[in-house]
Amino acid sequence: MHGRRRVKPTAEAERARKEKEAVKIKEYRQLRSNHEYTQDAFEITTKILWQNPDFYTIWNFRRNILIHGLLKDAPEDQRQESLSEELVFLQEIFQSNPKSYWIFNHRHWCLETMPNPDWKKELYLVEKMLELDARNFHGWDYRRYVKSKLVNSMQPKDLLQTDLDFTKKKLEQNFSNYSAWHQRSKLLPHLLSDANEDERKRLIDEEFGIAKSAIYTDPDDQSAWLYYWWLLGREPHRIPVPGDSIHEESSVALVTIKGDRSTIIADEIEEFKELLEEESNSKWCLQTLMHLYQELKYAKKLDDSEVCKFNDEIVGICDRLIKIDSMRARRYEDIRNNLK
Amino acid sequence: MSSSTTTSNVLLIDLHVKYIQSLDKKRDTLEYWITEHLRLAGVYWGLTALDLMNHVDALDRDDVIAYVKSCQWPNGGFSGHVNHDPHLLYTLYAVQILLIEDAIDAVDVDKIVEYVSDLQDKETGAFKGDEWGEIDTRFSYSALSCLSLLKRLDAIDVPKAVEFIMKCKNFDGGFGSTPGAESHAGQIFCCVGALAIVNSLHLVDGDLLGWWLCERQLKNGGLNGRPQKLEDVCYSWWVLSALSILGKLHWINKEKLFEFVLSAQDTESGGIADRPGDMADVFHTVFGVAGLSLLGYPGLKLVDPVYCLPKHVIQRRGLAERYKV
Repeated sequence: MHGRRRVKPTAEAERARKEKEAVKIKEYRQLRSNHEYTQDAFEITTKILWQNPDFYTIWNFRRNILIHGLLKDAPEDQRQESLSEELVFLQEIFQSNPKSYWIFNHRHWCLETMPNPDWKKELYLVEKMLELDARNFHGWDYRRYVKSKLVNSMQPKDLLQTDLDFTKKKLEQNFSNYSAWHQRSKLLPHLLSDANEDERKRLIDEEFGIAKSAIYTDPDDQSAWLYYWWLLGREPHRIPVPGDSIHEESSVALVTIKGDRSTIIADEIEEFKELLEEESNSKWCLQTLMHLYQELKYAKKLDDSEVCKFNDEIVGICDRLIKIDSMRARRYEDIRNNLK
Repeated sequence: MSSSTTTSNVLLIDLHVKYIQSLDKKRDTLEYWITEHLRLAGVYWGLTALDLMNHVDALDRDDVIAYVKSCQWPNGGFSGHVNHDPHLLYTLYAVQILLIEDAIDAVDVDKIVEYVSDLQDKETGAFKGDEWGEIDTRFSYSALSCLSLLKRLDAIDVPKAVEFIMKCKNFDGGFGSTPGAESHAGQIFCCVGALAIVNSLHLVDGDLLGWWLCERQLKNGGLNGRPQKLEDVCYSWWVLSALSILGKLHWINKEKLFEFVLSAQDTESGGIADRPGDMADVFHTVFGVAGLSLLGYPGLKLVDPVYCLPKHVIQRRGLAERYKV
């Protein structure tokens, strides 16, 4: 139960509630006593699910009524029609319950079961839904699922482009949309693997451009910074690597497409030093600078005096961060104490 | 109607015990009936909170065991309530409850093992929640935790299970519900916990993920589950347990979180809510209490961050600690 305000009802209101609910409880318990695969039982499940869309056993029962009762031996057009009606029902019930796993679950089943699912319409619907709540992860998950079904009817390149345009639109509406940044992190490796060298350079430049413009628009927002860190990559030997390839993503340094990584990092340090002059208390800018110094130490062979100089910078930044962001002071202390 | 706004800066243990005991006595409310699919889960949440607060006896042991037994199906799985359908989530809850009560022999363990292992997809290593086939890393955790508690991990393909979890890893070091899905603190608890159970924590990028997790703490001391979302008491568990498993619990501010969780208590009727001023429920009560326990709140028993059970239960079972301190 989330976000329901606590109020203490008066004795009178409490009595009225009990009387009203007594009737509903009786009705509800009667509904539950029916176990036949009939039209009547089907309508009862509709009533119960309106009261409680998380009652998974009722969704299961409803599917069984369709499979073993109403749609058993039904002709194709009737199956299509009934399951289309089911999708309408799901859309209605979704309006008041946008976070129920079971509603999406049933929608998957309907579409997988119907003779002619309209995936393009599903994509349209889910994108509408993400206009209402641009961070609903059920919505993003469902959109990825629908897209995986569109592979058969759309060119892979067009699909990727649709995704690129969609996430870009979402970010233009709100740079803080972490879900959209996340989606781009899934998309970019696919785009790059299909592209020629010029395209790769263009794509990666564009990506850095989008991340930077988000950072400059609101340096206090963590979403773009996290994405920027990922683009910049990390030195593989700084990450505990298990020796297989299944989680290569965090160690891929996409930035190398742009050029020599250590030269780029050195340039980035200069750039963020300038930003810091304007935004002296930006903890994200400070953390990024600290990270860039660390990375530079590993990306390039340095002599002792250079290492010392960078470590001094890092210690200085840690001290500032401990003051600015005292809640996480112990993390900065750990970083400072573990410098090599 | 008046809004109750009093807060307390100590954990109101007696009040919460009474609140949990009262949950089964609200049969004249519609809510009691329309939440019956959560009944078995509610027993796990309530009993764990009670045990951590040193009041495990507040629920009658024989009643609890008999109720859990009544939820087991011939195929070995457990349902959320009597006459509901079996599901992996409730199967784990049943095992957890029985271990708290030290009564696992009251049910057919071999059947449970069979039910859980049949839900693994042989191709991908993922776990389905039930026969309808939904896939989610929550179910990977449920299966690994359940079989580990029953000491029967041999019944499944562990490397495949790990491979699937790693496909759900993201650019920020976190994990999502399925490959491609966004990182979320709840899923991170599931994936990090599951990897801890099968000794695969070396696959987790602890520095990056630990950073992401500690950034979940907001100015008011509460934790959120994803960037730019609201704080919520239940993340005191999902975020903290993962940080604790990674040995980075000190990266958040303990006192501020204590303050936040305690301010979400219902000081009149007991229980803890998602955030101050909201309706309390048993789900937020247990995760609030468990979070406080992880941070060493005085007077509480210690909780195990991997299994989300009181630590003494894990020790009694003879299972190793699978986390750093």
